[in-house]
Amino acid sequence: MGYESVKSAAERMGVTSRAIQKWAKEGRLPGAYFDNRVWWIPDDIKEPLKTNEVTPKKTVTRYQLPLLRCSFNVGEAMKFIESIPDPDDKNIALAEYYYYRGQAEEAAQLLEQYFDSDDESLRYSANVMCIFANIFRGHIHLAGFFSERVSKELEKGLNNQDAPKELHAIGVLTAYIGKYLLNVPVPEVPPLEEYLHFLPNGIRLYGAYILAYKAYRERNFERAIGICDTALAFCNSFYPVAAIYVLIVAAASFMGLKKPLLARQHFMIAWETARHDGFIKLFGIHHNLLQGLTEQCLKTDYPEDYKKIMKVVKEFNDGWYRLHKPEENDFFHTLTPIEISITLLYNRDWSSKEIAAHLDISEGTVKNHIRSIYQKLCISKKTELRKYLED
Amino acid sequence: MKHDVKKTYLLDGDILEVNFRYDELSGKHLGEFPDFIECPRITPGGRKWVDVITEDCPYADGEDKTCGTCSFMLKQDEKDLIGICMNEKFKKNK
Repeated sequence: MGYESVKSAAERMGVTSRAIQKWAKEGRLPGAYFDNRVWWIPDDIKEPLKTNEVTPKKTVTRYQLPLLRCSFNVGEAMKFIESIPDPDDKNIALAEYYYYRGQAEEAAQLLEQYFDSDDESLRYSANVMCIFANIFRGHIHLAGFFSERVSKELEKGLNNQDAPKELHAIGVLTAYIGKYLLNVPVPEVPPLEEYLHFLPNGIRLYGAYILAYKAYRERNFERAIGICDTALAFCNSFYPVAAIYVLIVAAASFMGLKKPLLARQHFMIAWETARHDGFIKLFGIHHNLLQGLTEQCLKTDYPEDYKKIMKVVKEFNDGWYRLHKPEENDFFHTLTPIEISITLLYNRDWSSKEIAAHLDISEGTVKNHIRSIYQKLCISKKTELRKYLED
Repeated sequence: MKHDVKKTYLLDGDILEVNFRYDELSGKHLGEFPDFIECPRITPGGRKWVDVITEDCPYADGEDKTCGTCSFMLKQDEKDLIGICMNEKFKKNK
């Protein structure tokens, strides 16, 4: 089954476009959805349902993660949060705000009241955010607990055929987050690409980030960049939080292609979008992916922010490895952030000279770092380093 | 706090002493090795000192083209990061 425009459906069914729009609005064209002020009609519908055949449509009363989903002016996140009329949405947005600023403790405290909320959107937002917040807090057992909880809810939601398409789309997105960001087992779901258009705009852009990140992990850097550029170009407005995610993965992909200038450009747009609201956390969690860009772009010009980001890096790396490899946390535990960046670049066959130029440090310093890395990891060959990273 | 230690490398008649400082983060002693590119060092037998991360040698025959995997590198212990190059092409006549 595919979808077609109102005009195309009208021609196929031999009626006016107005009739198609009216039927869609009345719920008489099952599967039709409204997106970006346009109706999309399933192309296998031959005629509308009779009025008495229409079942009342269940709709989404609120959407998850307001700060990620909504458009607001850069630097005015708090002003936007204060303007949210619903107190629960406001609290979730405030928790997001704290989380993006690296204040995981404050975020978790605000979310506690929604863990068992009857409202599934609030419950979802609270549980998903608590996975990440607890990784930072070092409460690994809690991160695992919320991860299992979201996974169970996800399975239940995906099997519920009566749930609105938007909720299915959120479910598929969450499964992708679990699979590609958290590396935890999740139920099998259809491709996210097929569900993107059911997501509200800001979350759709975040969905593009997940797809780009997936391509990045598969080392398909061109595809990752293509997804990022297209997603940003087709946005009808600017969604700062989601845009930062997308720009960061684009920067990382340019690093993968060994195009540091383009990587730097994308990184700096992301940084300019984030810094006025203090959203440093997004740079901390992607530090390893960015392979030295944080050092190159921020260490000298934004020393205070850089320090805060390094604190986030340390907390995240420790928590991440305790979640996934509790028995062997050597790598991220014993290396400093700059050593991690150098390790990843060196493993990608950047020479000491190239790494030095990229990080704006001397070649001798790079070599000293590499020797330290070898000793900390108890290896003596580059091939062993590669094997270490693959494991 | 743990004290620094020293390790002595003895190869081809040359004695090289390296300081190992204690690193709190990793809980390991890390060697402060000399940079043999900046300050070349030759053994009495005419062999040059190299370290495992040295790149761009045209004679490197290992998988990753560094001295670490090259068959010409001779080390005192298997896990050492420094050693000497046994390639006759680099041997200096003293």
